[in-house]
Amino acid sequence: MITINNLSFKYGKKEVLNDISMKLEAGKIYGLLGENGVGKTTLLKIISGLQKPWKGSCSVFGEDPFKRTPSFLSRIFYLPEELEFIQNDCSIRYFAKINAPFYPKFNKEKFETILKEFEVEGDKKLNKLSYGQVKKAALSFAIATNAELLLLDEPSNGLDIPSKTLFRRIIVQYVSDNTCTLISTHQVRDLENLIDPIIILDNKAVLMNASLEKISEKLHFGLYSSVPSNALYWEPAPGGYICVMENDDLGESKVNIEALFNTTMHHKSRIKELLA
Amino acid sequence: MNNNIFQFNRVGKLFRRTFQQNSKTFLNNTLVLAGLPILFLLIARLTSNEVPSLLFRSNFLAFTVGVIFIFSPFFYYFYNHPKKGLSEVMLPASVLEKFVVMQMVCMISAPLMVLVFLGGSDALITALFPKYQDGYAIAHFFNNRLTTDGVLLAFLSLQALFFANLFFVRRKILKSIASFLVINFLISIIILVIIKVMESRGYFDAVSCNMSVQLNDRGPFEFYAGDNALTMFVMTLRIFMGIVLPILFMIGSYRLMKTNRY
Repeated sequence: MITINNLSFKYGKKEVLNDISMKLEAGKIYGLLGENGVGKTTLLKIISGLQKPWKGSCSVFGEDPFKRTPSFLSRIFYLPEELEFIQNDCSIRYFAKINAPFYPKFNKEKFETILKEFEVEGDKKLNKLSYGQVKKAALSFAIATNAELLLLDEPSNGLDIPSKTLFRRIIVQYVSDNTCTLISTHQVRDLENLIDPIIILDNKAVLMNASLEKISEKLHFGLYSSVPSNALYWEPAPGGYICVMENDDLGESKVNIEALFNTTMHHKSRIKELLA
Repeated sequence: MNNNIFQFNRVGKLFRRTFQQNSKTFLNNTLVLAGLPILFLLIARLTSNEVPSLLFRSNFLAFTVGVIFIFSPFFYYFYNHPKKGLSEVMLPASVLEKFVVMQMVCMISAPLMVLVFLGGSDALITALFPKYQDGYAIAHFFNNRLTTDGVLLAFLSLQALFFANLFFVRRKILKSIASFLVINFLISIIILVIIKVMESRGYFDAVSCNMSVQLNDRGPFEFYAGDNALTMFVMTLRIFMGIVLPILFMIGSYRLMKTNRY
C-alpha cells in the first residue's frame, strides 16, 4: 500500500529525514513512535501529499501522493494534531453534510454511531467545542469516510482518560479491516494494545519496523526484583524493575511499548540489528 | 472512467460546498446589499427631501461591483494557510476543479450577487415608488459604466490579487497592496523608459504633439494600417496589461495551488 524508498526531506537546510525506506500494508494499525522533532508529522505529511520528498520516493496506492489526485484524496484521510482546519462556525453534522459527498465510501450511520459513542453533540458548533470534543468529532468523521489509509497525528492528545480507552476501542471496532492506519504518537501508553506493527523513527532513520510477535520473539520484557546482568534496559517500577533483555530462550512476554521505545533509544544499533 | 483531471460532477459538488460552507456570509451580504438602496432613499428623504440621483446610484453600484470583484480572491484567504488550508487542499477534487470553482466564484458569483441584490433592490424601489426615485441604476451601469478598458483593468486587478492571495501566507492584504503599488510603479518606469527610447529613435517624429489616442471605441485587437507609433504602442500595452498579464497571473496561481506545501 505504501512504499517508501530512500526518502530524504529537508526544511531549508535542516535535514529531517535521511534515506529512510519502509513498506506498510493494508489491514494493520501501525504505531509511528519517536521523540519530538524526529519527523513523524513530516512523514505523515509526505504520505498524505502535503509535502514533497527532497530525495527518494514515496508511493501510496502506486501513486505519487504529491500529485493530490481526486482518486488518491478520496482514499485517504489525514487528521493533523492541530484541528484549525475543522474549527469552523458550523456543527460537525453540517461539516459532514457538505464534505461527505467527496468520500464515496462515507457511512452516515457509522458516523452517527461513533459520535454517539464519543458523546459528542453533533449539532453544537465546532468553534464552540473544547479541543477534546473537536478531536472526537474529527475522528468520527475520519473513521466514517472508510478511507483505505487513515493517517492520525497524535490522536490521543487532548483526550481525557476514559476517552483514550474509548478511542482505542472505536479504532478496533469501526476502522475497516482493509484499512491501513498509521498513528503517530509520542505518548506510547495511550496506544498500548492497539498498535501492531511498531515503527520507531529516530533522528533521520527508521530504527524499527516490526510486528509485536517479532519483537517478543527477539526481546524479553519482565518485572524482576533485581536487575539481571544481561538487561539491555531497566527502569524502576512498583515491585521491582521492568527489564528488557535479548530473548535467549526466555519465552514469549507481553511487549511493554514504553520500555521497548526506551531500550531502542539506548541501544539503537543492536535493536536495529536484532529486528532487521 | 475515473477522471482525475476534470469532472463536472465534482465541480458541481465543490460549487455547492462553497455556498453551503459560507451560507451565512452570503446571506448577510445579500441583506446588506439589498438594504443599501432603501437606506440611501431614507437618508435622502430625511436630510434634504430630495431623491438620490441616478448618477450617484449608478456610480455606487459600479464602485461596489468593482470592489467586490477585485477583492473577492480574499474570500479564499486561508487556502494556503499551513493549518486552516488543509480542509481545502485535502478535499478529493483536482487542483484544476478547485481553481475553476474559485475563479467562478470570484469572477461570476461575487459581482452577480451585487448586481442582483443591490441593482435589483434599486430597480424594485424605482418600479414601486417612481415618485421617490427616478431611473434604473443597473441599466445606467450597463449602458455607461461598463467599458472594455474598465473590464480589462478589473480583470487584471482580480487576477493579480488572486495570485497575491496564494503567494503570500501571512498579512496578505497589506503585502498584496504594497506589492501592487511597487509593481505599478515599476511598470510605469518601464513604460516611461520604452517611450523615451522610442522617442530617441524617432518613432514619434511624425506624431502631432497634441493628438489624443481614442481607444474606448476599439476592441482590444483592433489595429489599423494607418495607426501611428504611439497608438500602436498604447494598443500593445493594453493587450499586455489587459490580457497577457492576467493570463500569466492565472497560470501562476494554478501553479502555486498545485505545488503549495503545507
